Amino acid sequence: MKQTIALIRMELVRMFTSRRWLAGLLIWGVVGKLAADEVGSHVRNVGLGGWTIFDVHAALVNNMFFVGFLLLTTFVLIACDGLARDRETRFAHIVMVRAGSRWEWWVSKALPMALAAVVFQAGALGVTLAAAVYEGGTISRAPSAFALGEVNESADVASQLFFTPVQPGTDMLVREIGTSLYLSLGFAAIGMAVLALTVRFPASWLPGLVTVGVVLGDRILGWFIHASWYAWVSPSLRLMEAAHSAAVVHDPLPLWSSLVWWTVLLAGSTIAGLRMLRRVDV
Amino acid sequence: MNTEHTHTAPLRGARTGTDARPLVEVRGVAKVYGSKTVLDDVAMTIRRGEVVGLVGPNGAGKTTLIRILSGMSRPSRGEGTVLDRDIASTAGRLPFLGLMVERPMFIETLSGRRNLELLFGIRGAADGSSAESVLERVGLDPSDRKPVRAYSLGMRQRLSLAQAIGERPRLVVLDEPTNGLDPQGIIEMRSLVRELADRDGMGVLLTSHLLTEVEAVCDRVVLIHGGRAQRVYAPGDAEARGAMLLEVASPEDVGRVASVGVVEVVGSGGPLLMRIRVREAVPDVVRALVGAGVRIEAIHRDGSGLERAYMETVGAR
Repeated sequence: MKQTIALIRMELVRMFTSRRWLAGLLIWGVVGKLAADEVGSHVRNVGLGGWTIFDVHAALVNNMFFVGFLLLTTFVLIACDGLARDRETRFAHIVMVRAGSRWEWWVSKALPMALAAVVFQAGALGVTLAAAVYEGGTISRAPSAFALGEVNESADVASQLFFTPVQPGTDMLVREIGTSLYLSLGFAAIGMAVLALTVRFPASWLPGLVTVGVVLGDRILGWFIHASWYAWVSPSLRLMEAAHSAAVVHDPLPLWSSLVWWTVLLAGSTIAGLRMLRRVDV
Repeated sequence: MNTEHTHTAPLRGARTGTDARPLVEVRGVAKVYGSKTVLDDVAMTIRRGEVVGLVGPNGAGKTTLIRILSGMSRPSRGEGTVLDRDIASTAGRLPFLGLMVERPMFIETLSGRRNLELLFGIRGAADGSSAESVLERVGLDPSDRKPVRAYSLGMRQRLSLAQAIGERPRLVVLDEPTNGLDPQGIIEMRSLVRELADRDGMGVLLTSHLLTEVEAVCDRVVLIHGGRAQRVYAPGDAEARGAMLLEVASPEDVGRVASVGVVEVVGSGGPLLMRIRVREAVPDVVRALVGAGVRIEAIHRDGSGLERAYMETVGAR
């Protein structure tokens, strides 16, 4: 057990001292600024008065381009190619002879990656809120009229729902932390699937390429397949909080189904990765 | 060809007695990827205090064999143990051996010392002072806080050696340890490898393309080509010790040499230069040659025995 903890500790040090997190910081800032601009200009156009910094995060995490492409790909590039890279450079060998077993080595890769998903979402939340403050958002945990889904009938521009309207009295900070945790689960599950893939195909260029390919393929199929069943198999749609809201989409997915979906993907990938790792040449 | 030969040459530093059980003892090891056989019927034994070289051209199967011995890969065929662990099994604990890989990578943002502390911390068998002492031993400054990404290739090699030997494993595998080292570094590496075997009693498996270095440091050298261990060369055995280069004054002397019984002419290095094998002590051979009227210009040991064996093995001319 002490050995496993030491291995995880080393992997955590390695993960969180990587300069790749600077790319994460940059992307968080860019998407935060773009989302703040989008929310600010929309709220002004529909004449709903002010907007809060939490509205920006709520809108950001329902933007497929921001979440599915920019954030997810950045996360995969930061946290999910370590296994392939270690095998390419044979750093895996000098660690594994100390790990004592392949199981322990796999755990030392899987757990830090899952933790990185949480840290990544926390970073995205923090930087987005900071960008929203910079862009003039109100710092208030009470929902704005925009968040409540109110409509100004006299406005020239139709009001849009960027995310599921909230109930009066909702603590927006708690709501956004919850959304971040949900996205952490989704990112960790996707990250684990990618990690398991690199057990079979150890190439450090693969994780980024596969992620972009899958999300792109999913979106293209989504344009052509309008049947409601497709929402059940589409991973990128499930990442969207608003996909679970009857107020935003016609056929909402139950939230429990998405929690089960991501949990099964996470657990299945973890087991599959370990089973493959037992057989492959490292 | 199974090349696990029994040889009578004395092994420098080889231990005997109760600890004589080999660290590595494998037979018939083969590795097949699809229809391609990259390793075939290889046997190898490494004992405590013994330095064994593994030499062959690129793609000969050296790295594949190292992967199998270190538990990173399972052989398609073959049997045996490495540090008492069955090589055919992926279950159970991996053998702990010191492993120095080619082109080593570390946690690039941390210092060499911090890297060692984290690596040694996994097994809990060594601490910060171990990291410090082993860094000194390989010629790196333990107080250097520079991140590894700023290290030269030579420094990386030294750090890689430090991580391999710092926890005092019974078996050390060094894959191209002299890569990127300057001449002084190569000399230091040579004496350190001998020290690991002679003083610390470790078994060492060494691969290198520098044949003179391999010949200088190894007790035995396994020559591998096309995935097969073709032969075992022992720098210390009678055959290797008896190889000499003889330069004579005239073509007539060349003819006279052949008539001297204690000498066997085995090759030619030029019109007046012969490669000979002596059957008696060198002073006696010189006396016999002079007695037969041979005018000797120069005679010295042929240090290129491994080089010749290598060229014969890979079929190059």
